[in-house]
This record gives sequence, structure tokens and C-alpha cells, in this order.
Amino acid sequence: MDFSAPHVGFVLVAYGISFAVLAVLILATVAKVKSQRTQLARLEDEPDAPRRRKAADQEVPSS
Amino acid sequence: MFKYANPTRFMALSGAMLPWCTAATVALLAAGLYMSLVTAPTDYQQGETVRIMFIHVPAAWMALCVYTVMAIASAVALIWRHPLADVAAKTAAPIGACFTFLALVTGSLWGKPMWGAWWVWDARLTSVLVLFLLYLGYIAVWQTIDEPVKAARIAAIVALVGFVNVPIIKFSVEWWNSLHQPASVLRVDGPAIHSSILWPLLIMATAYTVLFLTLHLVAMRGEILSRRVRQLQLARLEG
Repeated sequence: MDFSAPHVGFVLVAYGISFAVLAVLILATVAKVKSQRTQLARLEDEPDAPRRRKAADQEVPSS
Repeated sequence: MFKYANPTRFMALSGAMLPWCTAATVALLAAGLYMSLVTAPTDYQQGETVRIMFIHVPAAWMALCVYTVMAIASAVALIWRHPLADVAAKTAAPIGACFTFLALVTGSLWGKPMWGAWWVWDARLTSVLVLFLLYLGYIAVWQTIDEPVKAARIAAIVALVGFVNVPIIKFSVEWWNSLHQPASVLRVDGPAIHSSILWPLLIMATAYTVLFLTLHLVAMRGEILSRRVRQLQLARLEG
């Protein structure tokens, strides 16, 4: 790639924005899973968790 | 296929698939970027700006592809009330919205040096902007309606009604006068572009597709976990 070519700034900005948007999307998606996993572990660790976990497992996680 | 739609089986299967999908995404993106930025030749008219095509076109393809996935999942959710179908549709929407946003922004960055304008109200651009608004509308339905069953039904109807825009986008360059060129890859008589440009484009398109698959699996796992959390919290309140 010739960095002295005309309009090369447009190419770099396009790749930069794509990288930034995809990076934010990946981080946000992974962060959500981690946060849910932590929350679920905390709920399951509480004293009466087995009864509640059984109740939750019996229900299909539909909308 | 319905056998794997059980959330527990899905979690096990997706957990096994994720490392492979992640590795494939990284490898394909690395190869695609190398080919796009290093080995692909410049265009005799467009010069270096032709390299924007390698990220713009796959993003545009994915915008349409993800909406199609969302519409199919919504139809399955409405017709068969499948437990994972609305999870699949709901989690595909933000990813599709990001790809559509990227298609619009990179298109604009390509349009300015080539057409002399950041934006024109061309049939293709306008219909892709409508697609972006449809994604936002779909996400807004999930965010604004408190009752999840009702939100799922309304969101599924929005997705299915909006699907009419997908063929409009695809054929807009043939139905109306447009600054965009007609299809040059997916053609009955074969691709119209040289292999030195075609291969980087196909590799990047495959990378974006595998990236979507990976992110979708992760997002679906997150949504299933969040529904389990909700069920546990409800059970706690009731108990």
C-alpha cells in the first residue's frame, strides 16, 4: 500500500472505524456474557439456591 | 436441528464450537487484511481507495445476511414458538446494526473521493439507511416493551415486515438509476472482477461471516444466561 497516494487517508479512516466498531461490539458482547455468568453464580451460591435453580431449570427460558 | 435448540444442548454445543470459531475468525481476518492491504493491486482509476471495497462490500453483505437470519428466526419464533428462535433473532440485531453502520460509513468514505459526495439519495444508499433504521427499531422494541413475550411477538412482526426491504436493497441497482454498479460477484455468468481483487474480497467476506457466527453464539449464550438469571430472581421473589 502506497501511503503517499491520493485519498489514502480515506482508506485508513475506513479501516480504523471498522476496527473500532468491531472491537467495541466484541468487547460489549463478551462483557455481557461475563456479567451474566457472575450474576448467575452469585444467585446460585445463595443458601436456598438448589430449590430456585430447580424451579428455573423447569421453565424453558423463552422470551 | 430442533434437537439442538434445547438451551442446555445449545450451551454445550456452542461452548465446544466457540474456540474453533474464534480461531477461524482470527486466521481469516489476518489473511483477509494482509491480502486487502498488501497483496491486492490498486485500481487503475480508483487507486488506493479500491481497498475500502474489501471492508465495505462484506459489511454490506453481512447487513443483508444478518437481517435474513433475524427474519427466519423471527418466523420460527412466531410459528413454532421455538425456545431459542427469539433468542437468535434478538441477539442478531445489534450485530447486524453494526455491520449496516459500517457499510454506510465506509461507503461514505469511499463515495467522497470517488463520487465527490459523502452521501447521495441514491436507491441503494437510501434502502440501506432504511435497513439500519429497521435494525434500530427492532432493538428499540425489545428495549421499550417490559413484557418479554409481548416484546418478542412485536419484534418478530417488525423483523418480518422489514424483510421486504432486503430484496429492494439487492435489486435497487437494477430497478432504479443508481451510482452503484450492478452486481459484479454474485452473477449468473460468474464474477466480473479479476481474481487478484476477488480473492481478498471473498476471504474478507468469509471472515466477516465467521465473525458473525462467533459473536452470535457468544451473544446467544449471554441471552440464555440472562434469562436464567431472570428466572432465578423471579423464583426468589415468589419463594
